[in-house]
Amino acid sequence: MMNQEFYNNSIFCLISPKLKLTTLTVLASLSFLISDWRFHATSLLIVSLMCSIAGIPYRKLIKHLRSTFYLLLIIFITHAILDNWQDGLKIILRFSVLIFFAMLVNLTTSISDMIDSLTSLLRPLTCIGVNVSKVSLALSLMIRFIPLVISIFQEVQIAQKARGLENNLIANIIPAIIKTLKMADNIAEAIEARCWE
Amino acid sequence: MIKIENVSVHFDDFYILKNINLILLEKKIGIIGANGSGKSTFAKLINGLQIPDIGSVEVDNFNTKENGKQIRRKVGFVFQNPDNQIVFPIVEEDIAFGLKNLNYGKVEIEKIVNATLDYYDLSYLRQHQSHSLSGGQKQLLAIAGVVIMKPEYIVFDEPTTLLDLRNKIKIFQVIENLTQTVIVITHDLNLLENFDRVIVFDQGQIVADDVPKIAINHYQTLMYDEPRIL
Repeated sequence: MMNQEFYNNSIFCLISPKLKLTTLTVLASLSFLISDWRFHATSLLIVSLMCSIAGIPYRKLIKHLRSTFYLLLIIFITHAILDNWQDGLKIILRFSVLIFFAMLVNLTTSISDMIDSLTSLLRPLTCIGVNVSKVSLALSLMIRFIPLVISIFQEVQIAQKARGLENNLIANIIPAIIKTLKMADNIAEAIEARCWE
Repeated sequence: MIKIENVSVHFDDFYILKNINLILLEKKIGIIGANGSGKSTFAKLINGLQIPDIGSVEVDNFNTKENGKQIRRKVGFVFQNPDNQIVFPIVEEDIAFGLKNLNYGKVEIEKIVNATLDYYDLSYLRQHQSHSLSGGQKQLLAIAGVVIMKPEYIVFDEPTTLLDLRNKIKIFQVIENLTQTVIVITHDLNLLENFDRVIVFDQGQIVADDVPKIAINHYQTLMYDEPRIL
């Protein structure tokens, strides 16, 4: 959900984020309910076309698909061995459709719009005691602090490397966890200081 | 007016702050002291992030112990490390966070955010990821995120410690131009020259409280005479 680039000139930016997220949910459900390979192939074609209209380069789509390549390959091989290769292919098509569509939604929706929409879609859950604003803040914090936590781990790794401890798991993990927890405390204070109730 | 009466903060037998009595009326107040002297704890007392174990802190007659919500609306707080203060991944979203908490409407938020981004020369960064900004830009963003909430007082806890000289000067110019009452904790003594009052802390107590020149001299003498690592 971390959109590094934002295709704000695309016509898909004009579509309500709520509609995009609902469509993604419906498409995901249909993909698992319908097993006909022609449905998945047609969906993939349509979604690819939509990505192209949105101006997302194909190499970017392939790059994202490549990151899940090994997972898809394992699924395909498992199906080919235990069942038949046609089912394996169907699953690959199904996942490709969902990955492409999720990318389309992600790259054409700003993070704040995404969080606002999720908050609004989750609002009915307030009746069962879910604090929706807390969920939405947690989502924002997660997106905001992933790069920060990664940089903390990298800093610790470099510091330990300088001391000749690059292969010592404990020397790398413990300080990073302590630093992350301390940061979490500071962030909680900062949120409180900014009138979060 | 900030009124601090007989305030002590302790951890078991160790006193972080001991019997502090102060009335703060000036517009620009500097707080200096060695590491571990209680400066940051003192700063947190002012906006209720730290509640005193003994005594009371009042901001415009609101007690920090009982009126946390009102106090935090009145007193903004800028932390030393902006990375701990910036909550949202996108610059303009982070600036808007405080306003959302104060229940401003969407249109009004957009208008105020635009004006603030323009004022702080951050407009060209509005859609940027906050983690990719430079240290100076992050601190400016953190300040903008607090100022936008229109607090009457702003406490700065070592806002220039992580910055280079150019960014230090820029941030201090921003602080000097603020119309609010500001309380700045810093180790950059030369930046306090134009302040109205400087208070020196040592081992949890106030050891000097005067105009900048006299207070800074006292602090420097103290540090040279009793060097120690805390």
